[in-house]
This record gives sequence, structure tokens and C-alpha cells, in this order.
Amino acid sequence: MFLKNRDFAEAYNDYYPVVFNIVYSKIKNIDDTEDLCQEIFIRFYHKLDSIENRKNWLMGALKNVVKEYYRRKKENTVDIDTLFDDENLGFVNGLRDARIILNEALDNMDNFKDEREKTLFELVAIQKYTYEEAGVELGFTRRQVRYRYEQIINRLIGYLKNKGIEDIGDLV
Amino acid sequence: MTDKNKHIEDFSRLLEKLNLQHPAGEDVKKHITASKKKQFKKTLKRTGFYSGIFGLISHVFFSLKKFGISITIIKSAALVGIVSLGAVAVITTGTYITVKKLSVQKDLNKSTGENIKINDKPDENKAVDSPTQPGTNTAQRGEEKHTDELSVTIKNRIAVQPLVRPFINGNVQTDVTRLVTDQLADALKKIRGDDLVINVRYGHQGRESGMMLIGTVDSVQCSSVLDCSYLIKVRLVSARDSRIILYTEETAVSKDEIPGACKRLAEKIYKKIE
Repeated sequence: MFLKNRDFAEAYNDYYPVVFNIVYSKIKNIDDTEDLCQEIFIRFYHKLDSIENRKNWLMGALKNVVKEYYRRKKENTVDIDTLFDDENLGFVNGLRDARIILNEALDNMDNFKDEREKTLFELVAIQKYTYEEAGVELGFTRRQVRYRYEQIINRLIGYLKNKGIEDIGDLV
Repeated sequence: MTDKNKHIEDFSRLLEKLNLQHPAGEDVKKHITASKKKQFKKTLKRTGFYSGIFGLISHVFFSLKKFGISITIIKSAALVGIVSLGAVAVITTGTYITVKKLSVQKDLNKSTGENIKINDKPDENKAVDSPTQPGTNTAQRGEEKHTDELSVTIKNRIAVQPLVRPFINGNVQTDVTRLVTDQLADALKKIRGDDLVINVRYGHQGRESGMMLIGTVDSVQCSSVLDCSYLIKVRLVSARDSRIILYTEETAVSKDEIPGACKRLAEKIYKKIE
């Protein structure tokens, strides 16, 4: 039990900010967000031993829990089915392709040392945390966050070069 | 701008352009940081697998993470273990030292009490009454409950030791020395009050004294065995430091005059100390 709790605590520390922010962005209520996050992580705890990709599993659980929330609320102003729809559909031609390529790059775990680095990238690049704020969440110093983030960007640029994109400015 | 910074800037603009950024609000970020530890505890409790010890370990884990300290749960557990052992060691040592000190103090008090003995009854068969050494306090400790008021009383109390005949050529009868002792004590009691005078011939009755009256009775100019003058010499001595407060004498021209002589001595003593 101690080992499972250990794994859970360390995963909780890393993923809680990401999960919370995404849930909050969908429901815009702090108290309800906390309740839903509890629900997500309780399910996560019970499935912990069998999960291979924790981030992906949490994203899937997050979507289900948020949709259930709106169904319970019988909220008519929100289209539950399209809540998490692929935003690529909203882009056309070059930009859609660029988004697909970039999503592929971001999903490829070779571009990240481990799950924690992916979480770090998510916080800094996607959720616009400062290096210091991300450090507080993940237990790194500001310098460590900056260094790791720079390494991630270099790997991503390297990946895109391998795909034939010499300059990321070309993607826009 | 360095290449590194340029790459970071370009990437950020790219994410923004492709609508991949979802900035978290400042208040939301602060809330997450502030509530993470508490929410973890609540969540784990709801799973049914929470324990007090793990709660403590996770508390250390989350707290240290906030300061940018890269720590694992295992290391947090080790830290908690070390601190707990340290606390136990400190408490055990402190308790041992306290108990030992109390025990030593108790032994000290006991042995001090045993060293101070009271002679409750005078030895009737003794031919020569040896003078009590000043400084060997004849008080019985522990019987009077000490207060500030009582301390003053004790300080002013006189213990009249049994007067004796001189060691050299002393030829006064024991009944005379006892008479002088009793008369002197009575005379002092009349002037100072019963509480401030102890006649040690009848024991201390659990009272302490700050002064001792010791002395000798010698017969002088005896016209016959039954008819003598008596020279009564007394010293009033501090019980605390053996300092002589008063040295005086009186002569009783006869045995019948002894009460009068004792009265005069008492007045001299009273005058000196009051």
C-alpha cells in the first residue's frame, strides 16, 4: 500500500496543476473543479497499477468526468458532445496541417525525457506558467525548469527538422 | 537575442498562432499551489487508503516541493523517520536527566534531614552537660512550614541551651544548672513571648531558632555547701554563623537570688537584640 501511495502522491504532484487547469477551463468554477479533480484522481488511484501512459489516461478520465458533470447539471448552454472536440477542425489548410504536425511532435515521447518533462512543457508552453511557477509545482528550481524547457524546445525543433521543416516560422 | 531565446520565442508564437495555448489565470495558479496538499489528503482519504503516517510523509513531501526541493516520497519518509528518532532521543534523554536530578535532590534532602537530630529529652543521668556546639543547629527540619513571616520568627527565636558548670573546677550541682536554665528561659519568655524562646531542656517541639543562648554557672564564694553565690555567664550566638551577639554575666548572691539574676540577664539580652 505504501508503494502505491508513493506512486500516487508523486503522480498527483505532477499532474494536478494540468488536470485542474483543463477542468477549470471547461467549467469555470473552482469548487466544482476541485470536486471533479478529486473524482478523476480517485479513479486514477484505483487504476494506477494497470495504467501505461498516465497523462493520456488522465486526459481521457478528465473528459469523461467533465461530460458527466454537465449531464448531471442538465446544462443546456453547453454542447457536451463537442466540449473536447479536436480544434483542428476549426483550422484550414496550412494551419491545420501545422497543428497536426505539431501535435504529433508533442505526442511523441522521444521529444521528452520522461512524463515529468512533458508536464513541465505543458505548464510552461501551454498553460503559460513562468519558470518559477512551474518549478514550485514540480519541485524544481527556476534554473532547472528553464534548462529543461530549452532542451525540450531543441528536441522539438530537431524533430520538425527531421520532418523537413527547417524553420518553425515556416509553420505559420 | 541568443539562438536559444529566439527558438523559445518562435515556439511560443507558433503555439499561440495555432491556438494551442490555454493560459491559466493567476488566481487559479495561486489556488492550485495553495490547495494541492490539502486536496491530495482529501482525495487519498476518499480512496480509503489514507494513514496518519503517510499523511505526515506526504505533508513533508508537498511542503518541500514548494521550495523547489526535488524530493521523493521515499526520501520524505526517511526524513520523517530521522526527525522522529531524534525527537524520541531528546525526550528520553530529557526525562532521564530530570528523573535523575529529582532522585539526587531527594537523597540529598533525606541525608540532610538525618544529619540534623533533635535531643528531645535532656539526659537526666549525665553529670556534666556538655555545651552544644554553636552552628550545630538543633532545629528539627521540616516540621515548621516556612513562610516569610515564619522566617522572621525563626530568626528572632532564642534556643536556651542547658547551662553547664565550667569544665575546669566546676563544682555546681546539676539541679542548680537546671534551675538557672529554666529561670533564664522563663524570664526571656516573659519579655519576648513564648513563641520566641525555646527551653531546649524540654526539646525544640519542632521549632527552629536563629540564635542560641549558651553559658555556664559557677559557684563563687561559698560560705557553705548550701550557701553559695553563683556567677552566671552567658553567650548569645547566631545559629547561622556562630557569631557572638552578646557576652554577659550576672551574679546571684544566693540560690534564692537566681531568678532575679536571670531576670537581669534576660533584660540585657532583650536590650541587645530588640
